[in-house]
Amino acid sequence: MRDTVRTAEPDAQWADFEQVALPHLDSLFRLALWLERDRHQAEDLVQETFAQALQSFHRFQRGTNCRAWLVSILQHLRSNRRRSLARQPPLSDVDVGDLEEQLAETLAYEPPTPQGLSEDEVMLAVKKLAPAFQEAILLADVEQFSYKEIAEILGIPLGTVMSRLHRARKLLRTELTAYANAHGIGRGTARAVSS
Amino acid sequence: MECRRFRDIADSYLSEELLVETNHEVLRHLESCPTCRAELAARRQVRRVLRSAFANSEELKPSSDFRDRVQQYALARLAEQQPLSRRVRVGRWLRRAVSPLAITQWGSWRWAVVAAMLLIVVGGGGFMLSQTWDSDGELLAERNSNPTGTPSGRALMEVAPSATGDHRECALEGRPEAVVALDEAGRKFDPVYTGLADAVRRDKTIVGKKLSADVVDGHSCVFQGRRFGHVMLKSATGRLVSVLVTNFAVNQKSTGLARLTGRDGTRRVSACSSQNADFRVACFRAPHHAVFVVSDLLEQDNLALARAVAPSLQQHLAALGDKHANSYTTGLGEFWTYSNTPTTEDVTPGPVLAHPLGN
Repeated sequence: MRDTVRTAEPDAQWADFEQVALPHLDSLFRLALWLERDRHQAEDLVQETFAQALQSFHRFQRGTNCRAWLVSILQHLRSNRRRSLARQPPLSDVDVGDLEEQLAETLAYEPPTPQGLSEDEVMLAVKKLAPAFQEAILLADVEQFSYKEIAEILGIPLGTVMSRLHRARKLLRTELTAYANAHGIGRGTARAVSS
Repeated sequence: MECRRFRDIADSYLSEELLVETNHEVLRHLESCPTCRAELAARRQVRRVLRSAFANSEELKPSSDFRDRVQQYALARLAEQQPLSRRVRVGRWLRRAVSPLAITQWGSWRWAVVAAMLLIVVGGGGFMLSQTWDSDGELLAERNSNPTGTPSGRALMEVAPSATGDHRECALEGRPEAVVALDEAGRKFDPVYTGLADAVRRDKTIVGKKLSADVVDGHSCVFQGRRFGHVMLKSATGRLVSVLVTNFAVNQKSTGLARLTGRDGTRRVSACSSQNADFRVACFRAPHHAVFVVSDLLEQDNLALARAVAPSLQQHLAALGDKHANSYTTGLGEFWTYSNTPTTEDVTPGPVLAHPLGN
């Protein structure tokens, strides 16, 4: 191990960091709050994420996806906290195996994806999914990270990302269809589209 | 392309994850299938609504002062990183760092702690500071020496990067390799792994300092071919600390860091500390093992934690390490030996597991 002599220039460091990383603050907070379901925990998590990001900013390659890098740090912090609190390994796809059975029942026939659902209705359907599936859908369909970026963020193989997303999206459609059927909403039904 | 196939890949099409040729197939199918066109539009709308829901959600927005708080917190944490220098002024500095410590008494042993500061400067060279303290933490003696001038020091410095790497990969990034429960690792690889977490858990609190740490996980893992017993602690400030134990063969005639009993019969723990841009590492020896305490705490806190866990850990390692046979098999089926009899080399860092595929 080698020491390196560093000159302390926090103002210059912060100015650069503020320009590149801080614009993603709201996006990260939304993600953290949705996943943690607790505002204080989300704030702590995001604060710690940006603190670590600032300390490691010299390792960030300019021109690459800063938001993905920040989410990667946030995800690692979440994994560590989850592991330290529950002493359990990170969620694996095996843990959501019981949902496979529900999924298998829907695979025989896939109804059309309902249209005309409101923001609240779609959010409600997402909340019903297992945490690993919510996480996958948020990263892919809301934050629009690539499958490769998601694999790096979550520290899982690309194939696992793809299969997890495939299942998550199918289950989301199942939830949306169930809701639409229960409320008489569906393809071709006249209903004002919200937002 | 059939409709069923289209439905399977429609989401990846929307995510622009398909190969160019597959995209062309999708477009050709859509030209002739109104049902699939409607399905694609519906899925696209769901995504749009979901993104909009997140962007517009008031309950998901941070408070107006959150940005300022993040800035204050991040800058405060950055300020905690002490500047690294070629020379360390000991005396007052270390006395301030160690005086609040309670030195642990263990059974009939009376422990005196030797704190040593070690800095390796870019380009080689550097010095180590050793101190002897009595049970009240009073400084008795101090001396400087070059850690790379001793075989034991050189050997420890060779292993330290693996310890920091394991802390990063396993504890911080959640990517452990070849993880085995401690009890199982104790049966398969090294008996000292059994009960390791309990040995660390014992006497881990430092009286008089805000630093306290709870054991949150214990397992055995591998980094760059070296197996560690890995106990993770969480400090009062939520920082993760790794206590990493690994095999470390040594000539019993070696002095310096290897000496565990002073001439007056007191039991000593000789600890050295080093740091790079990211982590602090404190390390100390047992008869057949080396222990590394790695974290991003302030250096004096990391060193203090190492000295707090050292007595019970050394007791555990000394008791179980002698049971370790001169040879044992690794989980990979490789067979290697180490010896604690005098050799022409003073110190060997311990064998590295050979990958069965020769990587």
